[in-house]
Amino acid sequence: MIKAINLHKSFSMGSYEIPVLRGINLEIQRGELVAIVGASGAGKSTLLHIIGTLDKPSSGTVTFDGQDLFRMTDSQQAEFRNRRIGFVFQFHHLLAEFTALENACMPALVQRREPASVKADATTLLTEVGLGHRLHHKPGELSGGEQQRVAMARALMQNPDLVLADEPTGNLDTHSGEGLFGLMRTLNKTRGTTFVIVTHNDKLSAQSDRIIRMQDGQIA
Amino acid sequence: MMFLLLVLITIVASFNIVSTLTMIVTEKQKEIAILKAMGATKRSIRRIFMLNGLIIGFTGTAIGIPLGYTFLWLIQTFWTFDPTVYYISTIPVHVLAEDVLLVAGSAILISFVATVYPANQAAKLEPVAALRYE
Repeated sequence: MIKAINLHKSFSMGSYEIPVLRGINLEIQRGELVAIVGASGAGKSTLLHIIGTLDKPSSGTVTFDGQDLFRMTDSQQAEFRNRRIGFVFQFHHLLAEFTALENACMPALVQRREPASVKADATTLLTEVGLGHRLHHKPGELSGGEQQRVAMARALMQNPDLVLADEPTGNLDTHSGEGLFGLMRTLNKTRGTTFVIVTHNDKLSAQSDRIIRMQDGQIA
Repeated sequence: MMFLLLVLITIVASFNIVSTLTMIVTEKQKEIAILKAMGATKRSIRRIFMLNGLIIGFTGTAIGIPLGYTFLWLIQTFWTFDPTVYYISTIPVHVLAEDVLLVAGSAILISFVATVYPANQAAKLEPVAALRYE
């Protein structure tokens, strides 16, 4: 489904060029649950952002079902993000002024879908991630694990092909972390959604279909 | 002449909209980035902030016109002069409907123009930087 070819990315700090990705070749199949592991600064997050078109590579290509992501126009990329992928970040990044239900609805509202049908879908999803009783709570009134579950429901709202999770369990205690990972495992099986998960937790990554180890901007 | 004067005042006031919106854009960087990650287009982000500025402009105009009328009424009613000393007994007030409409229209137009720059800044924002750190 995803194919990255010879990806390079460097950031410029004044006159310095700091290479972050140095020739990444990667292929991810539909339906896989892949864990990306590696030390901090190995380029895991940057790789994830590039796959999700939140960042551009300095050189190299990424294709999604054969389509070159960085030959798309801005609005095509926006539509790609809206319809094909979902993000879960380390920090839940929910909108604080909105309830769990409204947050889960957001991607569909961005697409300008009919609010009434969106609400029904979001309620089903939130129930599926185990938050049927927390629909009208704001993010501040939820625990860390619950916040990440709302973020998960939001990521799945548009029924994406791929969910990109950047250390989703990074801020959770062991118990909630395992719960969230188990949820991703279940969703992967029941919905067939592909998951790419960046994690530091070896115990969790061991439960994935495949582990990609990154070191100094390369796949080890 | 009066129109020109009022428009100048409005233009100065519109800098307030520019700075307020720029501040809101800076404050809402994270939320803008989140919306972009969910697939909001540049156009829709731009529209949010333009609408925000227009609401400020409309509210200001809607409050300003009655306030202006009240002020004029107060001048006419309470600010009287001694007719034995002055030629006139009150300050002459002459409200022209077309002036009111013209100024109100320009005020809304100017506040719309004032939204363009901050709204574009918001639309241009790169999501990665805002999402990486808390």
